[in-house]
Amino acid sequence: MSTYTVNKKGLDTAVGFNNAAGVLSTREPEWDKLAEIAVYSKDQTLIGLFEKLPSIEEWDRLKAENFINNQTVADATQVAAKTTTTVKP
Amino acid sequence: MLCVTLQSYSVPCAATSGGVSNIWVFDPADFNFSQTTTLGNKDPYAAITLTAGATAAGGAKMFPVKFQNKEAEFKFKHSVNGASVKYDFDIMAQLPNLSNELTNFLRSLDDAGVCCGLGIVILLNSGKIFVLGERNVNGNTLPYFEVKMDGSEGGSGKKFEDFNGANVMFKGEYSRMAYEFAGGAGAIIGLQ
Repeated sequence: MSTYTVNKKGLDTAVGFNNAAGVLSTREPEWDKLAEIAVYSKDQTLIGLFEKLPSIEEWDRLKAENFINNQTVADATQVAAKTTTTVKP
Repeated sequence: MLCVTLQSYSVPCAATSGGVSNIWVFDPADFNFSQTTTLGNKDPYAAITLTAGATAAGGAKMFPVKFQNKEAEFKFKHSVNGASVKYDFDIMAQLPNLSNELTNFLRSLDDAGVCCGLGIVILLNSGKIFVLGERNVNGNTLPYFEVKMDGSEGGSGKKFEDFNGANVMFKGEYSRMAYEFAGGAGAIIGLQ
C-alpha cells in the first residue's frame, strides 16, 4: 500500500524485522510490513523512518479496500477462466 | 471482570522441545524494540532498530555467545511481597577452553554490569526468542531492567576428560516475565 513515503535520511538505517536485518534501502519489498509495524506500535524511532504515515484507522481502511480489490480481481479472473474453458468432444 | 481482566491460556496443539539454541549479548543503549498492542495486550517485539548515535561500526551489534552444545539454560522464578512482584532470571552457558579470549569476554561482561547493564537475546530450541535487559521500546526508555554476569565459575579440571572452561551465569531481575521477539532469528543474526 503506497500510502506512505520513506524518509530519505532513513534509507541507511539498519532495521531487523521479518526474519532479516539490513539497511532500509535494500528492503523495499518489505516496506509495507515495516510501515504497518510503525503505524500500530507508534514507535517514534520507526515513524522517523517515514515522511508521512496514515493513522491506524486509515491504515485499516486502506488495507480492507486493498483486500476487497484483490479479491474482486481474483474472482473476475476465476470467472474468465471458467467462461473460456472449452469442452473437448 | 469487576476487579481484574483475566485471560485464558491454552496449551498449543503442537509438540515443543526444551533447551537453548543461541544466545546473543548486546548493549541495551544501542537498540530499540518496536512493540504493538492488541486488545490491551502487549504483542511480541516485531522489529529492532539502532538508537540515535549507535552504529555497527561503532560496536552496536549483537554479539553471539558460542556455548557447548546442550549446555545452556534459561530459568526464571516469580516472587511477590504484598503487591510488589519480582521475576528473577538465570541464564547459564557453558563456555569451553580457558583462554585469553575467554578472559577478555568475561572482562567485557563485568564492565557492562558495572556501567550499562547487559541485554540478552535467547533463541530457544522451540523457536521462540526472548529478550532480557532491553532499555528502549517504541522510542521510550523502560524502567531499568537489570541483567549482569554474577556467579560464573570454571576451572581446568584434573584429568584429560574433565571440563576445562567456564560456566557463565547471567542474573537479572524485573517486574515482569521477558517479552518475546517475533521478528525472527534472521533479524538478530543480521545485526551481528
